[in-house]
Amino acid sequence: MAVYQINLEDAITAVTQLAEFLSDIIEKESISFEVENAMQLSAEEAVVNIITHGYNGKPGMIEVTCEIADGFVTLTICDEAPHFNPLTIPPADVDAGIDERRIGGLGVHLIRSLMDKVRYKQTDSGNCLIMQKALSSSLS
Amino acid sequence: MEDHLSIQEREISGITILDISGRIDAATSSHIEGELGKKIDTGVTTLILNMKDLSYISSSGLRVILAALKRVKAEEGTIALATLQPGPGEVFKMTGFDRLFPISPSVEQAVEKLKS
Repeated sequence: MAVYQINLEDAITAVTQLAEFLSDIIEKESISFEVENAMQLSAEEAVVNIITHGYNGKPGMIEVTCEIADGFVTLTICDEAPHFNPLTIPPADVDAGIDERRIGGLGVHLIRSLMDKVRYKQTDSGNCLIMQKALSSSLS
Repeated sequence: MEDHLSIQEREISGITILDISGRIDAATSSHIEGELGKKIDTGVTTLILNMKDLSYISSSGLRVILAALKRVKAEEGTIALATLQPGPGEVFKMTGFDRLFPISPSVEQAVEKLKS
């Protein structure tokens, strides 16, 4: 089992720091391309939602933990923003034509589509999103 | 974060091609937003985005190219995509964006499609 953690505090550099943090893990753990893409996207979408909606662009701490154990990768992303469950956002309409198309909800849609399990946990200080994916398709 | 995204411009048969390389994420999407905006502001309404070296795109990137598509469509133009790689291709498919843009396996085929 391996556990990696990073705290993101600067909204401007958070996405790049997060991408590099996950790239290092992906290389170290020899994670497949399919899982790599899922991890990078889900983590970015979750973090961007926190920065934009949870913290409304103001500074705030985001704790990202990546655990590799028993053939699964688990990403836990926690913040200290007002309580809000992003999984209650209505799903994006992926069949809408160009004129009806909205971008809202696409991040959560991507997270749900890419990860095997996603759940929300409210904490005393904020929120956590816990996302899990099997490292090999035979386990998912 | 321009070291993670670079955009080169060229023309084939009078059609503007933007060769995109790197990642379009929340940190770099404003770069491509700016480039697309500049081109459309100068009256370019038909563009091909060559994604052969695009390794990653997130919803921030989708937002930007959708906004550009809406702008050019208002002028009866289009944005075509070429050479989508597996990662970005999966994102386009999952979000239904593959139905909003003409997609070709190569820039040359995208040019032919636009000319016909």
